[in-house]
Order: sequence, then C-alpha cells, then structure tokens
Amino acid sequence: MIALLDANNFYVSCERSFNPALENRPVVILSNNDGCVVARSNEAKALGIPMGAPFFQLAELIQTNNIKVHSSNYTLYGDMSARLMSLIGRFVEGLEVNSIDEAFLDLSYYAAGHADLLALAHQIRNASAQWLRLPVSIGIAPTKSLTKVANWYAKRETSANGVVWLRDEVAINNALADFSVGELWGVGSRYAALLRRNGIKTALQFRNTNPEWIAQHMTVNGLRLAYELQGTPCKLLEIEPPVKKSVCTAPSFGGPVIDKKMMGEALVNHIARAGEKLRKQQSAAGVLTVFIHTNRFKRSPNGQPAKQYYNSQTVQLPHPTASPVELSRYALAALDLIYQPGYEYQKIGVILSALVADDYRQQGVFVNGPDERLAKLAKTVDQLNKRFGRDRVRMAKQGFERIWQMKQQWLSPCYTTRWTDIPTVK
Amino acid sequence: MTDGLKPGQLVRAIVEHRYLIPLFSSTVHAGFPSPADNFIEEALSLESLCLVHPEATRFYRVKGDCMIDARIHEGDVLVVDCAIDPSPRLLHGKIVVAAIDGEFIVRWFVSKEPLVVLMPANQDYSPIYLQPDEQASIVGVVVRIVAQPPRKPPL
Repeated sequence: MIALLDANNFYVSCERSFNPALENRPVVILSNNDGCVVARSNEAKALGIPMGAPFFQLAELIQTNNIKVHSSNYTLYGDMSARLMSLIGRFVEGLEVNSIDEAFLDLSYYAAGHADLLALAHQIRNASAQWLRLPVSIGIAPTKSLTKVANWYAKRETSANGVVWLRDEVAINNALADFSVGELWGVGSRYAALLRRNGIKTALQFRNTNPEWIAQHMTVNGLRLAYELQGTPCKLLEIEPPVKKSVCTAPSFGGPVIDKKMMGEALVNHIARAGEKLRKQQSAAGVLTVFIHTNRFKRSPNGQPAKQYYNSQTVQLPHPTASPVELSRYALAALDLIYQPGYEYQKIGVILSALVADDYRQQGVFVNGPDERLAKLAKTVDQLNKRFGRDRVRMAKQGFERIWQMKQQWLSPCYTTRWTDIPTVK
Repeated sequence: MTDGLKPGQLVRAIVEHRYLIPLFSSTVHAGFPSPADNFIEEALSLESLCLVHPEATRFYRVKGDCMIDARIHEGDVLVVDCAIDPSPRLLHGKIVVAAIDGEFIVRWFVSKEPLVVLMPANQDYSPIYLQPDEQASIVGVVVRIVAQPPRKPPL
C-alpha cells in the first residue's frame, strides 16, 4: 500500500501556523511579484476567487470581504516543508517528496504486519496538526494514481476526517464511479474532452475501456493510468530524488524595465542564484538559455493592449561550467542578440540545462577545457557568502541598487529562519 | 517531557543520533600515552539541550510582563516544543503558549476539570478560562527561557 500525504492550502496554512489572526477568515497568497493568486483558504475559495486570478482584478472583492493578502514567503514555506517531510520520516521509512507540500509514503512495511493503516494515517495527521499546526489529508491505496483519488476524497468528505483508505475492490470501484475523468492524475483538459466525446465521463468508465483504444488515443501513459486504476502499480516510488535536469531562475521585475543595462544587471543576479543551485547539486551546465518578455496584461493609456515582445536565445557552451563569471559572459551576449529597445519588459529569465556532474572533464578540440581557477573561485565565494550573507562577495555587474527587484508588498516575517522575525507572545 | 505518544500506539523506531567516534590525536608509539585520550567526549551543544523535537520547536519573543513572577521578562526568547500530548492531565503545571483571539499568549496551564485555566504570573492580569473545546488552542510547552543577564546590579 502507498499513501499520498498532501497539506491543505499549504501556503495559507504556513502563514496561519504563525499568525493566529488569520484563522477562520479568507486569506489569499500571491505569486512572485504579487502578480496573481497562488493559494486560497477555504473561506477565499467559498467567495469564488479562482486559482491564478490576477491580483489587480480582485481589488474590490478584497476590500468588501476583508480578505487578508500575503506575498509568497518561500523562505517560510520551504522551512515548513522540510519540517513536514522530516516529521513523516519519523513514521515511515520510504518517502518520495513529490512537491513542496506533497509526498508519497511507502506503507508496504506496515501493510505486511496487518497493521491498521487508518490509525497510522490519523496519527500522522494529528502529529502534523499538533507539531506543525499544519492540516494535511492522506489517501491510501495500492497504486500512486489511486492514492490521488483517495486523497481527493479525503480533502472533500468531512466524514472522512482527512483520511481515506481504498482498501479493497469495492471501495476502489465506488470511489472511481463518482470520480470525474478530468480530475484523474495526468489527464489534462484535452484528453478529458476527448474522453467525454467518447462517452467516458467517470474514472470507472475509463478504467473499463478497451486497453487498445486507450493505447491508441492516449499513448502508453494513458494505458499506465488505466492499469494503476485497476490496482497494478506502474509508477514506482522514487525514494532517491533524481538530480535536476535543468535549473531555471526567472522572477519578474518589480515594475516595467526598459533599460538594457538594468536588465543585464538582473540577468547576472539570476545567474548568481542559478549558479548556486548548480554547485549545490554538484553539476555544471552545458547549455544556457536567456529569455525576455513584456507584460501580457499591460494596456496602453488609450486602453488598447500594449505592444508585446517575447524572445529567447540558447547558447551551447564550449564546455560545461558552473562558474558565474563564465555563465554571465555568455548570458549577456545572448541578451545583446534578443534585446529590442522601446518595450517595457516584465521579466528576464535564465535556464541552465544539459547538466552534467561537475567532475566531468572533456577538453574541446579547439577550446581549452574548463578553467580550474574559476571553479575554485566559485567555491570560495560560496563559502564566504554562506558565512557572511548572500551576495556579500559578488560580481560588479550584479550592481547594488536593485531597482528591478521583485515586488513583495505583503511579505510576512521569516518566523523560523531569522532571529529578528520570530513571533511575539504576550 | 513525554514524546506525545500514547502507550500502545504504533511507531517506527528510528535512529536519530549519529555519534561520531573521536579520532585520538596521539599516534601509537612506545612512549607514555596522552592521559587525556581516555576522557574524550562529545562537546556540549545548546541544541542538544533545548531541541528534543527539532521539527516541532519554535521560538517566541516575549512582549509584556504578565509572566514576570515566573522569571519571564520582556525581550526573552522562549523555546517552545509543540510535540506535546494536549491532555490537561499532562499539561497541568506547565508554562504553555496558546493561540487565543488571534494572538499568542504565554501562561501557566492549570487543569480544573472540566475547565482549563491559563494563569498569569502577575497579579495585575486576570486568568483566562478555556472550555474543553477551546483546548486545541494550546500551541506548545515552554521548555527553555533564553534571557540576557540584567544590565545593572540591584540598588
């Protein structure tokens, strides 16, 4: 048996965990740069605020309903996520962290001992509520895809008390009979439409569809899903996290940016962040992509949509590197190629891909291999900054004014990671 | 401190601590061995003293003087362990942090069946009575008080 544990409205719950004034009232969390809604409390959902709604469209609703607004505080959410995963690790050994607020738990160890998995799940749920003040839902089933279904019911059925176990054929069939095919894991809106056109509306109907038809119309992934819904595991737990295949850094600017020099400054800062991530997982990038775009919601003073521009440039690096000095040289050259004056840019981003292990060494035929001194320099800079604070040692091109930096108007304190930010008690 | 588990509950036992084995600084030689080598132990850390459940531990800064008679002063940092058994019998007599009316408060926890009383340690404040259904608002138990020494000697 496998369990899927999912924190309820995770970002909102993290804020509430440290700010009891947010209990029992509508709360929304905004994306990077305060652009749109990325998390809602149940009260905010009940007011009809959709996921991803642009913030500027909600001003009136927020005012009239006294909705509490917060910027995303990823420092806090990341720390709470680490605490949650560590807590789960006290109960189960096999754990696949699926996202910041979600994990698959390997319960085979318990199932073999004929233990009461419902009681175990309730224990984990109570521990999370008491230890972390985070509400979670847990779905238990024989396969990953079925745990998603179980978790969906655990979240919605109040009688379930946050835990649903699809323990036998009957329970699975009942759950699938009422489950919309569009809600299934991995079924996007296009496949959902195709299935509905063919009279397949529920997950149970999908599971009982001829496998050849599924393979023909939905590739092998659709077939895997059908088998998983029959209780045959096709997606195994990935207990060892795979090394990331690419690293992307692309926060939006705080306001529109026109100046190329300022964009270059932001780009070099993104490279510094992305380079840190690379070196942390001990890899080097072989390919670099820079992209820029304008704000698609922006309107001109006359009310017409403002003119838009998007472009990107990919550079094949002569040899894999994680050195910010080398990376920024190529990135700035790429920016030169795609920058067009006269637009108000919203974002510049960098993607580092074709990652290899950093001990990979291959001399090019016409170019020298990676510069060992630059690798050593990056390592030293990382150590200094770890000790004295981020960006204390930096490239001159990173600048100091950071006019481009992203907007986080309603950021909550970093309650768990900064002494100046810990909550007060009276 | 209990670990928040009732007897008979099923948990996996996990190994939490890895003990590093000290490498003796002196090499083996024919002469007289260093007499200190037999007394090497792990150095003490404040973390091992304060953090029983790292995931469940949070820090709070004290504002106001309602616990002054319990030697908790404004500006002190409280180490609060949230991995508690919330049953009144076990919390009785402990200093707890609770979330009441949208803010965190620190008080003595006194069990007076069927009620719970949150008692201040200062006569200028009144006790707070909690109904059984409000007892979920107990956040955790204060396990350490981190304070700076007083600045001036008493006159």
